[in-house]
Amino acid sequence: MTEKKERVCLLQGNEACVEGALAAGVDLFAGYPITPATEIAELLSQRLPERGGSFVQMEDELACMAAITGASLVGAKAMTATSGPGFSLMQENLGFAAMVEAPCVIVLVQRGGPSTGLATLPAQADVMQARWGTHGDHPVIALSPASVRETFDLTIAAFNYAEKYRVPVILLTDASIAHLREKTILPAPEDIQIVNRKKPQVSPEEYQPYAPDADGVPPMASFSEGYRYYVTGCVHNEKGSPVLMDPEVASRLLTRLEDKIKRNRQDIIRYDTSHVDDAEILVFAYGSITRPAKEAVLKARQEGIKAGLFRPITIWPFPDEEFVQALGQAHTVIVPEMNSGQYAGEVARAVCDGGKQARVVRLLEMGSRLIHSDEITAKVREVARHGK
Amino acid sequence: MANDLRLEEYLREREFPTMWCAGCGHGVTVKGTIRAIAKMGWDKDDVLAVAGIGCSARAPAYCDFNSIQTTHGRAIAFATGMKMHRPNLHTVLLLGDGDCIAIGGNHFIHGAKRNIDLTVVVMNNSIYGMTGGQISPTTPHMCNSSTTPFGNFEEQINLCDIAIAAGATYVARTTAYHVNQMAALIEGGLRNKGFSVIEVVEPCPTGFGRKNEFKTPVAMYEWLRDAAISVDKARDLSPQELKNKIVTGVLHQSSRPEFITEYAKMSKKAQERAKSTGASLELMPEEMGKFPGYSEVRLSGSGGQGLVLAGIMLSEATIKQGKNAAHLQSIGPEARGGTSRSEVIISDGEIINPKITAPHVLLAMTQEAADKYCSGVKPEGIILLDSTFVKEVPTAAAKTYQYPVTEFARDTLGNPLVANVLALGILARLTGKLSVNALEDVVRKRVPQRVRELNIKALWAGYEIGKDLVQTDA
Ligand SMILES: Cc1ncc(C[n+]2csc(CCOP(=O)(O)OP(=O)(O)O)c2C)c(N)n1
Ligand code: SF4
Repeated sequence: MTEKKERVCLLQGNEACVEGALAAGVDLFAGYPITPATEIAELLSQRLPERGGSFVQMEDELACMAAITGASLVGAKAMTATSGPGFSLMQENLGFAAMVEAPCVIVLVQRGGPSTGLATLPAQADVMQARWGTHGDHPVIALSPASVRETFDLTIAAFNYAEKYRVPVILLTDASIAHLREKTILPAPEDIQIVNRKKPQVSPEEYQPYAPDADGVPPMASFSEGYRYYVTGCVHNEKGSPVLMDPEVASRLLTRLEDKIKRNRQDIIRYDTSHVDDAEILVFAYGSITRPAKEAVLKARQEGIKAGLFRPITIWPFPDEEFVQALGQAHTVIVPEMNSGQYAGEVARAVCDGGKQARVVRLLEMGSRLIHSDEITAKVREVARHGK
Repeated sequence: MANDLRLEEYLREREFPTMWCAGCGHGVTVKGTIRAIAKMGWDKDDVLAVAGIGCSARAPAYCDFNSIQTTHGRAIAFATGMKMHRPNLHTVLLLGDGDCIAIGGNHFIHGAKRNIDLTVVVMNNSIYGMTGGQISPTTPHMCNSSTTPFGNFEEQINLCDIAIAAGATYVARTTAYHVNQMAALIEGGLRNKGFSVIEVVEPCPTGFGRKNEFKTPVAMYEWLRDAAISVDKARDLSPQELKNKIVTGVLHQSSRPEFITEYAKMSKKAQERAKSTGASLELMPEEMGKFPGYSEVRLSGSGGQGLVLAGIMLSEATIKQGKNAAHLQSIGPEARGGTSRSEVIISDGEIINPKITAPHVLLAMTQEAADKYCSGVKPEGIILLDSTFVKEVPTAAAKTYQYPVTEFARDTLGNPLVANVLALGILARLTGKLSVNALEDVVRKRVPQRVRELNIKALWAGYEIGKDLVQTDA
């Protein structure tokens, strides 16, 4: 038996993100300081130069998103980290990255908003910004961890998905997980799976930069590897040439961008359930509310209430099928979230699209207090008392 | 020189015809740029052409390099990421004036400030061409545009002056009429290892000329020919005489450390140092601890008392004792003044939901913290009050101990900053459940060398104080 080198440590959420990024092979980080994401930049400003990687503090977040997208196109695994206000500034270039299919990772540590809001406190009010922040239809993947260890794992997963599907991937955390420290056992490097973008198998003369393989994803030559081509945010054909007046070309491109995510959803959707089999009441929670929700469900079960938990880990795309399956015969879904019901709307849509009848009950927190497990338990009890 | 240039080798003719109007200056500048690159003898695979958005920004599409059209104004920021990861790519930016100095002004300033090795060719046609002829920061005073129906009352910007002031190391200006000078000046920029700016004043017959009494494209080239004046000649003229003139030639050249080179040096040093220290974060659990089941510890006081660090060290020590631990902190404005909290959850099993309900142990190092938190402690729990600051003891069900922790740290140990570690030592003894040896290991690792021994002394002193407190109590 060879001895594997696991590491036991006390790690903060933001530190775990950094460890995950390094394990995934991040080459370049471009950042701009903002609470509660700053630790990520501070740590990488040391760790990246120590490994021969690149760290740069840009002049603003527009520049951060630009720099990581540029770096990605020349072959780097690139990342930035920010909070709501900075994420807003990144939107135009985030759309560019989606359009030119530049793999990259954006860590979004949510805090209370809008505007400067509550800079040090957690919130979940950027869920929709993560999905629809940039203009136009575009593909995106967003992952939402509930613990420090998961922050590590999902940062790696974010890089892997970005590379595999050539999309920007958002790691959606919040101030409470970012600053929580937990005993964390990091896996041995040889136990970590790393995915790298696929390279063209044809000569530069034959290479069409936007001609997809069967999985919908075009192989990616990095600039500087002898494959000279043109990258543009304009609608383009398979050769990469702008085609500005042809609805066929436009709809082919935009449909493919959506489809490469849709058709690979089995690989992309991650979720977790507990006690769903006979559940009459389903608590639907994500991110930092997962754990209070889990505690509340356990408590309810002790009291004989048939409650269950569905917890999406992949926030975007929305796990429709998996959720509807978990919903089963439950008559009510309770959605506790730290916003005005952004994701609950999506849950209601999924119930409806799935042909179900369940009622969607919102338990919302607008003041950046972490929703307490007792509040969730109380809501579960209340629903149980009233029945369907 | 231009004769042996085989222009077509550098063009991506697939993308032709170009989108540019007859008489547009952009094609002229592209040719000048290609001539300069050809003169450098660079392999096309090693050249990166970057643009933003505008008529100008189509330029890279027509050049057979690694070509990219980014977003409006952001080309320099994209190129910064690209150049950092691939320093060997010769990177040329082809920017419109609006793209460069209006929407992209901040990146332009910071590119110059970093003196990053990029060559920026600014295709300045005095107007926003692509969107149909609105004013640009470069539009001359009282000229017409489609958004200045009463004439442009703003003064035009001098982007070369900005580049110089911000730290660019090569700054030149030419016009689309002076094609040989243009190629030579761009070549000068390519040779400069640093941030180079070459402003090319160009005609836009469609968006600017027609609105400003240039009847034909030819009239615009004649204007460029006649308005241009060399830097040497310009030196002898007054500002009044220079009005409406275009000063051409190398305006500025200097030598300053270049960003990528400096980064590489710093990184090399960091790599050597990282090898020698071999920083590690491992915490191998050693002995099975005595903290049974599940406990919550709250350390409270004000920002600057080192409570976050104390909480981290306490958590690490319990992990070393084979336990599970989680640490919560309140940061930001609170930690910079008001009440500061640092909380540790210690458990034998999984911590399903890391939160503090009713702590088993409370340390309060300010009156405010004591008032706020004493009553919440579990009746069977323990409270330690720093009597240096806590003068009134709040009523609480839990067993309450008082000791002038900060005063002892300051007067006896000589540094009030070790009060946090002193308190950990006291708590280790009062709770009887924390291994001081595990704490000592962690303190050794976490505390900087110069105060390490002092902190360890404080830890053990605390442990002794704890003993006395328990005995007095018994
Ligand atoms: C964020 C954003 N705002 C506005 C535009 C519209 N727009 C496209 S090109 C342009 C100005 C182009 O002027 P300039 O950079 O001087 O280049 P030219 O077209 O004159 O070559 C504007 C405002 C845009 N594409 N993106
Ligand atoms: S509008 Fe002006 S800048 Fe644009 S292509 Fe025509 S002449 Fe050139």
